[in-house]
Amino acid sequence: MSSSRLRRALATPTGMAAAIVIAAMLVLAVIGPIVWGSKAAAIDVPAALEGPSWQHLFGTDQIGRDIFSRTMAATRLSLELAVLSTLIAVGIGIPVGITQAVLGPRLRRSVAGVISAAVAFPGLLLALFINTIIGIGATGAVLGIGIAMIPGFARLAQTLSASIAGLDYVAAARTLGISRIRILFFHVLPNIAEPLTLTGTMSVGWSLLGISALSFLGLGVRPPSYDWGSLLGSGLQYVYENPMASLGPGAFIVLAGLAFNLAGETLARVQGGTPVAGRPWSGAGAVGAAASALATAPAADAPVAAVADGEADAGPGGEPDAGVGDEPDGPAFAGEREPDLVLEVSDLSVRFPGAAGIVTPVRGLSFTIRAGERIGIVGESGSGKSMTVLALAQLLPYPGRASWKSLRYLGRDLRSVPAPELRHLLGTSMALVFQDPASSLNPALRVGRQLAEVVQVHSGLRRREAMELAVTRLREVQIARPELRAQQYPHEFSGGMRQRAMIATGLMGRPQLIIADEPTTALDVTVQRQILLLLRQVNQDSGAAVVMISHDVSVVTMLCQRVLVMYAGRIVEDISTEQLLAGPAHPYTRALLASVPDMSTDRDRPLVTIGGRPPALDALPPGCAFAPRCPLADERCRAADPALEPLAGDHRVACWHPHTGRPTSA
Amino acid sequence: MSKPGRMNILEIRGLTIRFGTGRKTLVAVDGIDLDVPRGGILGLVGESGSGKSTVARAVVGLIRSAGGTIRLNGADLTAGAAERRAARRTVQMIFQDPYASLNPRMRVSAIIGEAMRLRGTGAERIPGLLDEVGLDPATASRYPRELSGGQRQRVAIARALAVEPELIIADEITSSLDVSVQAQVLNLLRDIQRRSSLSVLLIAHNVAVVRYLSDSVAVMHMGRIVEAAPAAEFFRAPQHPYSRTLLDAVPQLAGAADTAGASAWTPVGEPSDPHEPPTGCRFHPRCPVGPAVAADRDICRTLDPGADAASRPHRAACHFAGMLPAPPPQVIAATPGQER
Amino acid sequence: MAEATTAVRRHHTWLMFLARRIGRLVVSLAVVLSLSFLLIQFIPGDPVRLALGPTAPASMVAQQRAALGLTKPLVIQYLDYWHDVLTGHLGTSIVSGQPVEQIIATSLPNTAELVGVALVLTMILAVSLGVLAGALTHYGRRPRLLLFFTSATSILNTIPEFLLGVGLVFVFAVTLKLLPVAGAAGWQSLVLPALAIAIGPIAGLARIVRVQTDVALGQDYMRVARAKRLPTRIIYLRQALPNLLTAALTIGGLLLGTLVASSVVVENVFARPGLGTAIVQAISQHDYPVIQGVLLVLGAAVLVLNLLVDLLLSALDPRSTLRES
Repeated sequence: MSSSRLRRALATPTGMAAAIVIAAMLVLAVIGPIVWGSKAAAIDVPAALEGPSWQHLFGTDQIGRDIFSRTMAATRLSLELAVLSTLIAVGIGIPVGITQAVLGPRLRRSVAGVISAAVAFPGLLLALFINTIIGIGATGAVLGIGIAMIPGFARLAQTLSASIAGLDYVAAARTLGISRIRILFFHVLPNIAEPLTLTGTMSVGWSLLGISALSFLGLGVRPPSYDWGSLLGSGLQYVYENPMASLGPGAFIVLAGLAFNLAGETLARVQGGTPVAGRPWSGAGAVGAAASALATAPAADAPVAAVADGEADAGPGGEPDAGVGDEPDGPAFAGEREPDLVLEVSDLSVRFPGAAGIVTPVRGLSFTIRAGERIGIVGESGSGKSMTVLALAQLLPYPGRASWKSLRYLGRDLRSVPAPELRHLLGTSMALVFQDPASSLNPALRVGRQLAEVVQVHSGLRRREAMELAVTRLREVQIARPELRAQQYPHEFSGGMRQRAMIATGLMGRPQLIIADEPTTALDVTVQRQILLLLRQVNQDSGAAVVMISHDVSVVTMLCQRVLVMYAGRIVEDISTEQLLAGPAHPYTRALLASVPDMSTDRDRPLVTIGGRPPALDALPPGCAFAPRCPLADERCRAADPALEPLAGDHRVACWHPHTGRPTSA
Repeated sequence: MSKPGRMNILEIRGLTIRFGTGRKTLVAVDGIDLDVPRGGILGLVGESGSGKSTVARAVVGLIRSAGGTIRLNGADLTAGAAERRAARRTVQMIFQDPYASLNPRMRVSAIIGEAMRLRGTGAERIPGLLDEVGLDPATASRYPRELSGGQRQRVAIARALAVEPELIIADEITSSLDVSVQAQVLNLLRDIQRRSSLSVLLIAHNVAVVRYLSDSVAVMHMGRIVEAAPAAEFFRAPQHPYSRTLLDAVPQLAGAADTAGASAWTPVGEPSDPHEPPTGCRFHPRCPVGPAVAADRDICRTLDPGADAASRPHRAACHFAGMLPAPPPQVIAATPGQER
Repeated sequence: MAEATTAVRRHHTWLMFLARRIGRLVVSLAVVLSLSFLLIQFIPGDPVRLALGPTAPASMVAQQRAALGLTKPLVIQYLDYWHDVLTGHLGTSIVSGQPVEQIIATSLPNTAELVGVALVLTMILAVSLGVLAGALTHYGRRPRLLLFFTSATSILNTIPEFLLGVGLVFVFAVTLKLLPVAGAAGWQSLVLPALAIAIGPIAGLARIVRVQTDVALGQDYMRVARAKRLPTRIIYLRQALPNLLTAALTIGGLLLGTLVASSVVVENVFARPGLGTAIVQAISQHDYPVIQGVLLVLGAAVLVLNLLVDLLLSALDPRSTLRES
């Protein structure tokens, strides 16, 4: 157990409480028999079966002994036995489980089968079996419970080591020729030590409960020895006269059991070491995960209202949050209202609260989408592109909050639309296609049903008509034998088919805007092409505008007429595809185009690279976010963040030194 | 162990790899032949499920083959454990996922040190190695969780190089990286390869990357090699319909205007189930010039074209190789010397 | 044509699956049977002497040994045991002389009743509470409610069933005098023991269900459901619940063993005549045939029930071969 993890666990209230109780128990175990031993044995028949009093906190038993003293003195034996039986379980179970990793496949399967069968078998029965053989008493109880817990540990150790053994770094060690034993000790064990220690801690609690149960039944610790369980058992005989005789020791059992359980759980909850840096492509996921990790420590001023995502307790839209220091980009659309604009966004920002302050993955975006237009949003991980569309679609995960100066969808101010109408509006006219088709479809429901429910809910169609419509749409997205496919489950579809089914879902209503977030990233390149063609066809047939997000500029140019390039939460360039191919203006866009190898990249030259890394969202530099990596950066760039300004016609750029004139030169 | 006279450092013949038994058998690799030229880069291209990563794992000994030979510098790795052990000093692998290929509990110095133990070199070489992959020597005392994806991949490369191998297998090493970092890692690989005349088996699904780096190309589809040729020839005139669909599908900046509609080289239908591969040519249900489209191509359904592939241009596994129409301009790559 | 053959093949696959599981069950049953046979053999010293006591005459001891078949060779004893069990003879009690199968026949219904009620109670309450808690606290909302839920379930899960039983006895019988605390007469006598058994597992399962709900609500397809702007009710009932049920049932199945074990203990708290009281009494009296018999029956029951739960789960999981259209 790494010390940082221990320290973190101790810092939480539950961790501290558990630690205190365990420490107290340990002290009690040591001093108990010494301090209370004689009093515990003192027989005083005239005072038999008395209730609780100041002299006898838990009353007396049937020969007048003070039950409180007996409870205190019993601590040592109770804990000893619990620890002993845990050691048996751990000492045999873990090696058995781990050596699975080095056995041959056939042997491994049989041992695994035995362990699975043993795990399903109730431990108490096994304990009784062993108890019977060894005889009634503490030894029998310890061995019984200890051996009964072996399969559980073996299974845990086996599962853990199997999952580690499948990881690439173990494969790398094997290719280096490192022996299986070394791999076990240096690669597998260190990475499973923590969960095992955790479970070990908790099983001290379980052992205690198990042995107490046996003692309670009279099958465990026998007189003249006594542990909490046997005290509880003998107390039961006169529960009518003196309930504390059993409830007192019982309370200690519970307290000790709780303390160990809590200790284990707190350790499990607390992460050891520094948080792992986010993976690329997780986009919204990375920020969401980071933010929720930050958000578990309650921030004093964290806004808690969720942006409308179907919950009754939140109203649509977020409160305007003007004046937080971001300059708006571009004109506000306060008065104008062009009729054929699908979306008008002015100064859109997204904020996530966190322990270290507020993270702003999207900072003041302004753009428009015309009816039937196809635009692409390009950026790397951390650029904020996924968060942008989630905010537009009113689907930001809690505790994120979106704010804007103006957000008009189909000419209507989203904040002013009442919730049921908004739901209908968005449900029928806005279609979303997410990145991973494998997880976007509910595995427990048939595909046709998942399409049909859109119109069943929003257009009041009956089941039969809705399913017929679903079949029609599936046919439109070129899924063969749609009647059959509609009755199937998602796992029977291929990746490309699933994505097409998602598009079909969006077509169930009358889509005006289709938002596709990395729709082809998880697909093979030949399938990717089919999906892009499908999106274009849908755009042409239905007239719906398409917004496609991608990290891959080439893919975007295959479908879109216009491209928004995002970097560190801002739009840095708004450019037509034609112009993009001819020569973009922003240094980042130029560098991006130059650094991605395509079919005409010069093989004799090294690839153009962009030095450095994308900035962390919580450590943005003042001034232009790209300045640290930009070859053209000067003092002005580092000091002041350029606004998104029109360069020529529709072409907007956020740069103090945009490239103009001549076409690209690397 | 190395024989400078041999043209190919790696020669695979008839390699077959199966997973599962009985009814649930999956033939992931079905009798393939592959050559990696000494001091050169072979790009192995294929989509998901093609079996290319399985081939890689078999070469480094992580998976047992069911048949065929793998000759590394002439020694057959399938012959026995001794050959495989000896092979470890000659071939090393770099994995795809930088977040899973380094032991989170070991420092960089320990990770690389483990590899050096194989070669018998000492820890004093570590700073030099780190410098070679473009990392600050102070990185040696860090844990993987403190490094970015690109940095981790560099450590993985350093670990592979520590063994001083002759052949490196790079399995999708940039697929999990950010775009701006990919270029850095690819440049690094290119530099190292040119400097030390390493041989590289480059596995990728990104055709553009393969084109940039490779000297020769092999295309894999459903466990079989469908085409193999020197890179320039391959990209100038691919001979197998599947290769054509792959190249056609590559997103291209220059070709945006062309993507107005479905091209002639879009695959038909849905991907086949690898557990029940089609008879004859495995690509025939999807082939845009195959029996699904043209009536006179029934032979594709019944006869496996791989049997006499060696006699066709680019060893293409297609009955109609050499009869395909010339590729339209956007499929052709610029020849070296032409700038974009 | 192809569809017909695939349908036949799928049917065949399912039969193979069933056959494999039953095969495994048979093997496990054989192991349990063998272990219960070996019980007497493992005991150090003379089991009969232990049972009859140090004062019993040697002739009686010898008589009992012969009656138990302990004088025959081990292999013969083993085969005899198989024969006896398969024909329904589970031996004779050393202490009372009654046939063991009779003792079990009278005790089994009480235990089965108790476990059954506890199981139903557990599943219904745990799933409802868990889903409710998960839905209310998803995304980190209502942290205080979550804290309360986690603490309450933690504590309730840790209180051992015998202590709960004692507490319930005290509250309901001694203080409130509402329900009986002993015996097996009528439904009233089921209430307290069933509660004592079920409260811990309810708390434990509710926690797991809450976590599962939290996970399920965070899945991509839930985001898609929200994107479709489906009403909340449909989102929970139609989209989330089916995925939750499989996980809940899996854990519930695992709980079966725990419930059986708890009933053994709780029966003794409430002096309820059942397999639990029978075996505890038998152990303290060294009445080995009874111990063997009860362990065998309990073990077999758990194994069979587990198989049934497995089959039920695979029938519900759309990914299994049973459900493909």
